[in-house]
Amino acid sequence: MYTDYIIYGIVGLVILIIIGLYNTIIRKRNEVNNAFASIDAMLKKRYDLLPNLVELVKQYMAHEKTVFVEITKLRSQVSSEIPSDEKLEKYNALQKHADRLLLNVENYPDLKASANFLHLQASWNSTEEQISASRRYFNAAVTDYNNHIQMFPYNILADLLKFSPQSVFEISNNERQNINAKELFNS
Amino acid sequence: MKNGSGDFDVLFNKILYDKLIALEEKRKSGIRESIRYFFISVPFAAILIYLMVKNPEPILVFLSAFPTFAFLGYSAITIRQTRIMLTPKFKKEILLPMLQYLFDDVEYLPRQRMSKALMQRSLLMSKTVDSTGGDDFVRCRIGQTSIMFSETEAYHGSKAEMIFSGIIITAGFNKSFMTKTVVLPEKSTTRWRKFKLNFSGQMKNAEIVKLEDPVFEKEFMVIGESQVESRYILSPSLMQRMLDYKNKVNRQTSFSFVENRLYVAIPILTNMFEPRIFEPLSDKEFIRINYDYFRLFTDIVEDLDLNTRIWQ
Repeated sequence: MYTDYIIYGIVGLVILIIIGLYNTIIRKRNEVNNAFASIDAMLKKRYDLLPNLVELVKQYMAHEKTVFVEITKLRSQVSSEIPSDEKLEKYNALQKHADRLLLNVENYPDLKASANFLHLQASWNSTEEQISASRRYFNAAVTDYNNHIQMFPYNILADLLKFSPQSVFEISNNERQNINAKELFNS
Repeated sequence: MKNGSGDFDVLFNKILYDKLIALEEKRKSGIRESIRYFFISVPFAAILIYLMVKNPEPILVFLSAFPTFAFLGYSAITIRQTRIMLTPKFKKEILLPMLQYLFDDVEYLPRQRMSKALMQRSLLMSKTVDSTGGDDFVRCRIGQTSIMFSETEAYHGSKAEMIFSGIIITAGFNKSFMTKTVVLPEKSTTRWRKFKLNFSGQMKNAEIVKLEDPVFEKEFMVIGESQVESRYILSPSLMQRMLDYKNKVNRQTSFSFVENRLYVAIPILTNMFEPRIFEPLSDKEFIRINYDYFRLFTDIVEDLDLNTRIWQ
């Protein structure tokens, strides 16, 4: 009689532990998704600044027409339907063009001194920093999730339910290289 | 535009020296008077001791005790009066010009301190602030950054339990943000603080923010309302600068970022920015200590790079 209760008790306890472990892994995974969504939101914020940047800069940099065309083309290709990876690629391409525009501002003193431009540049810098913060959050969330699913006793459940480790955000090899200022200014 | 740096020798020799000499004369005169009364009390004290040993007649003891204590008391009162007379002069004639030499738009209120509301808003106090004490409130501008600081004590409850004594600094931060982030010394903070901040409604959905800098993580516990915004505020370079500032201050420093302002709490038990009575006021090293305190508290602007405003 008592033995039955003890067995039921142990089984109940084991079930509760499994539920606890499972919920922890799910919570960590959701945090990773949430962190990724925050990167997406920040990239979108920067993306929304682009039309203002183009409009403002266009008045001063008439002969940078090809960059404007490229930016408009890339913007039209970004929609909510395309997969995240592809969207990130487009965002990064847009970023390169926008960076080029911002770099060329040095050659246009009137534009550089314009209050609208200064405001836009501040918003741009702020968004850049927020994107960086989101990436750091994503990396922290991924590290925490990976640590959990690889550590005992979570790893038993993670292996059974096929929770796989995720990759942290890493900069590309191109970005890792030292910046060649000469090349940048000639582009 | 002044940036908090300047040649101390120029300040001391050209701006403060004459005033210090005048103040030193007043201090010496006060001390001399006090010593005079003390020495007058000495013969009466000798008579008092003699009578108490040889002939403890109450009326005689009283007659000799009265002048002894009267002159001793007057000596102490003279010291106190000298201090009361020197303090506002020292603050107005020495500390104010010192601040004006270092910073722009200086407002110095020697008898004011940070308000209770500000202390509460800073989220740096471990308990509710019910009353405050302190003095030497300074408001000034360094470049584009407005900064305020004062010696402040915070008390909790009807028994006025002291929960903080030291310097509170607040400055405009160079980034805009919507949520609150608190950076507390790891050694003296438990996770219970997070629950308290949430439970009291001072923060909403506050979480522990784990940052990537291991040295920073070892020194501080970060509690933030938003994982992303806390990291936006605490960029890797700012974390390093905060660590350097903490090491420079050499105290358990706490920081918070609330409503686009930075708050810093540095616990210090010494009463700073006061004249001294028993040692020369015109001593260069003594004046330098006050100068260095001002520099240390305002260096936060330079050290945390608050004048770089590329985000606003």
